[in-house]
Amino acid sequence: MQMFVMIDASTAARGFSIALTGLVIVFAVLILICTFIASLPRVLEIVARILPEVSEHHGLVPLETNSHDVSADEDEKAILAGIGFVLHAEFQKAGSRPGVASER
Amino acid sequence: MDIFFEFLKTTGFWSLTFGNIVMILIGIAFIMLAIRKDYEPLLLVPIGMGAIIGNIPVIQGMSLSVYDEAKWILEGNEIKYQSGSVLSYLYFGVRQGIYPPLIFLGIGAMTDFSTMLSNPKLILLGAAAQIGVFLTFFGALFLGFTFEESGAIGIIGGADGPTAIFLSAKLAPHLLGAIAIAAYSYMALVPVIQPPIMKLLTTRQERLIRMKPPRRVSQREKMIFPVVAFLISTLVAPGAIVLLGMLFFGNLLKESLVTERLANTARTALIDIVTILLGVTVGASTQASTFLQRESLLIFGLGALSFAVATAGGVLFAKFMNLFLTEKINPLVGAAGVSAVPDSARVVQMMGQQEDPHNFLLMHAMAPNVAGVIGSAIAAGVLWSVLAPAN
Repeated sequence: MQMFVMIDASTAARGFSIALTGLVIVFAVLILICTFIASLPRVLEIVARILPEVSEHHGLVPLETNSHDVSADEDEKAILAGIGFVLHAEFQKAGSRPGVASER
Repeated sequence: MDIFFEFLKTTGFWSLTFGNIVMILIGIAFIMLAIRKDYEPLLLVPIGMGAIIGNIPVIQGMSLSVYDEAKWILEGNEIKYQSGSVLSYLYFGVRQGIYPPLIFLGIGAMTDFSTMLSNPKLILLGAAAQIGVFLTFFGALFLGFTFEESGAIGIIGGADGPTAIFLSAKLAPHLLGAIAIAAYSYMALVPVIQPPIMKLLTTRQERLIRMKPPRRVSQREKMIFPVVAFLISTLVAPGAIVLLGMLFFGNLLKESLVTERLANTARTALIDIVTILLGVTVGASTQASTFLQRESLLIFGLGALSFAVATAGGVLFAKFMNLFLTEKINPLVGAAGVSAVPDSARVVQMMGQQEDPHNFLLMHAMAPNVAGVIGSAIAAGVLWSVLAPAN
């Protein structure tokens, strides 16, 4: 290998064409990706009109609303259990007092 | 006494050359840069340690260096199998281009393409920065390198270590050590190389430009992007299948939301293991006898030129785009088109904040930064398909 070699015209031409073609291909691919990304929201909007998004996802229920429903159910059960316990305790107290049982 | 002298001949001191000492000092310098300056420590520490390991002279007849591969040898009338060194087995992943796609898998699983999806025109900056690759390729030809060698050297301008290793393993394996070291050195030196070029090519008014915050990107867009982008890029440039396939596969693992375990492994344990193996073996391949050559110096010179041209290409293209845009781009963002993720984006943020402490460019710079990763992989694919020795 020699430093600063005078390359022949055909090598220079081939090198230049490879460099130019390579750069054009890189630009072409990234322009295509850019165009696709720019149009994606509109495409998704049209698709959503035809095929509305399904909330079910392989039964894993990743949507926030569903997880919220589950936690709401749990809360309701806890509140009901609490109310039930208080009522039970109150009835027990009332039942132990003289004269109350007959009133019931 | 004879036994002592015999033993002395087997020590490293006996056959240590001046070149070995230089390379060991370079290895120590890499480790110091990583520790003291925090320049790419995850790469420079393994490479630096590897350079030290690779430059301890080995004993004749013992398989110790990365170049001691397994082979069949003829001894008298017998053909015997000679096993390779441990380092040569680890280096197999570099030689065959196995590690770079695995690193791309991890990068894909880490990368959030949201900013790019929210502002697609910034992708073009990632393409513009690839001018460094092709100009350096052309320049290398004029320095007397062959087409294959020039292609492998040019990709240093992509500022992507794994891509540079992948392409040089395919096109010019004998230059792999020098190219890998040059690529990673310049990636580590991004905070030093880029700022003067960025400052030189922009005015203060341009550096003060504030950009609109990116829009919110839906999960559906993020899921569709890796599949379609892979199809587009590899149908045009099939040479990029391996690198881009793994990059977009990793990203799909992340964005699909149903393979979190796989994505997590790819972006943590897997990429860390591969980085360790790649770093230390590439470092160990820089033995003084193969590395301290005139070619290596030329490669370092061309690598620096490549980085500078790539940075300038991105900045100038951003200025060119501003001629047509109503919502102007801060031209500093163009410098992030070189794919040194996320260092070049950090440099953009730092440069922007030097002029205006309330200007946050990091998110915007990540768009050309990740586009640069795609761009450099496509450039590598194109060069590989055009210049592969079979052609």
